[in-house]
Amino acid sequence: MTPRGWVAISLLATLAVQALPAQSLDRARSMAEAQHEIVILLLQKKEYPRAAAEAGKIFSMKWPDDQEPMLLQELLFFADQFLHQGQPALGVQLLENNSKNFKAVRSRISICKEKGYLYKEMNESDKALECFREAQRLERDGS
Amino acid sequence: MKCELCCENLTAYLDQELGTRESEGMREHLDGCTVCRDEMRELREAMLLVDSNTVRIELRPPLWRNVKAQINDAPVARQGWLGALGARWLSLAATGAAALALGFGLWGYQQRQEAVRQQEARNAIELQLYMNNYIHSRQVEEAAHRVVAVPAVARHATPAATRVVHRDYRDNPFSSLALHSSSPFGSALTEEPKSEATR
Repeated sequence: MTPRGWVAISLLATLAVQALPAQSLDRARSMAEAQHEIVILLLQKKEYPRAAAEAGKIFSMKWPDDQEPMLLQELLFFADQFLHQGQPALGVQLLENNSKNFKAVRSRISICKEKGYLYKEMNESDKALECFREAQRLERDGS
Repeated sequence: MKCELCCENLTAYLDQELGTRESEGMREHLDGCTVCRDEMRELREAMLLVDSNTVRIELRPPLWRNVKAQINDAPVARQGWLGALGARWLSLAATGAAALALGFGLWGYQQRQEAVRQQEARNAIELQLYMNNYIHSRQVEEAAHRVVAVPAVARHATPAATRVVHRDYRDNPFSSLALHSSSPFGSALTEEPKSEATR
């Protein structure tokens, strides 16, 4: 094979490798989209524990790091939904179970604060304070 | 009495230092023993000889005054300031120093404890403010969501019309339409802003 042929092949291979993560991200997004709708339906049907379990599947999927802000918004959105459905304990559980999937300090701070807010809504002031203390500590250490 | 014991006691006998009974025993033995008697005689002669040659010196008054004066003038051994204080003062001073050290220690400890208490109080206030700020902002945003979600006509109608209407289920951040928007939640679908607290 001519050198030009090798160059063409290697160029194609590079493009294929670069395309692969994009494809897998698209697939992940598609699955997450469906999963989101499932969670919403379960919430509407007031099947809260199942909704929490299904929501957890979105965060346990493999996501690139740059998707973390979007996932954080999704997590906080679901926690908010549980709160408004009168299920703040499930919201807290969802936040606790899935916080390990978040690596950025800012994400962890947001999760801690929201957890504290949910605890406050549940009139569990001590636990709320503990969450805010943790968020404050993370902010201090992260800054 | 045996001769050995008699010889041992001869000096005491001559000096009249023996008891009545012992003196009596000595006398009886000396009456019957010529050897011991000769020994006693020789010892007595020796003693007389010593006494006869002893010179008694009378200390004259001027000499005695001189000696006395020298004794009085002899320099007294100087004591250090610690010695001058005396053991009593020294122990008092040591006790005082220990009490002072203890007092300072306690004072310092109290100061530290006070500083720690103040710091803890400051931290508690800061934490409370931090928490209140977040909760307040969340509540404000919750209220904003409700108002945005209620139609404009209903907003001015009755309070009942403005009942809880939260951000609803249309916000699927993973939908293909949302992906084309700049916001991860897709501004095309979500015209109402996501709360600051959940951003």
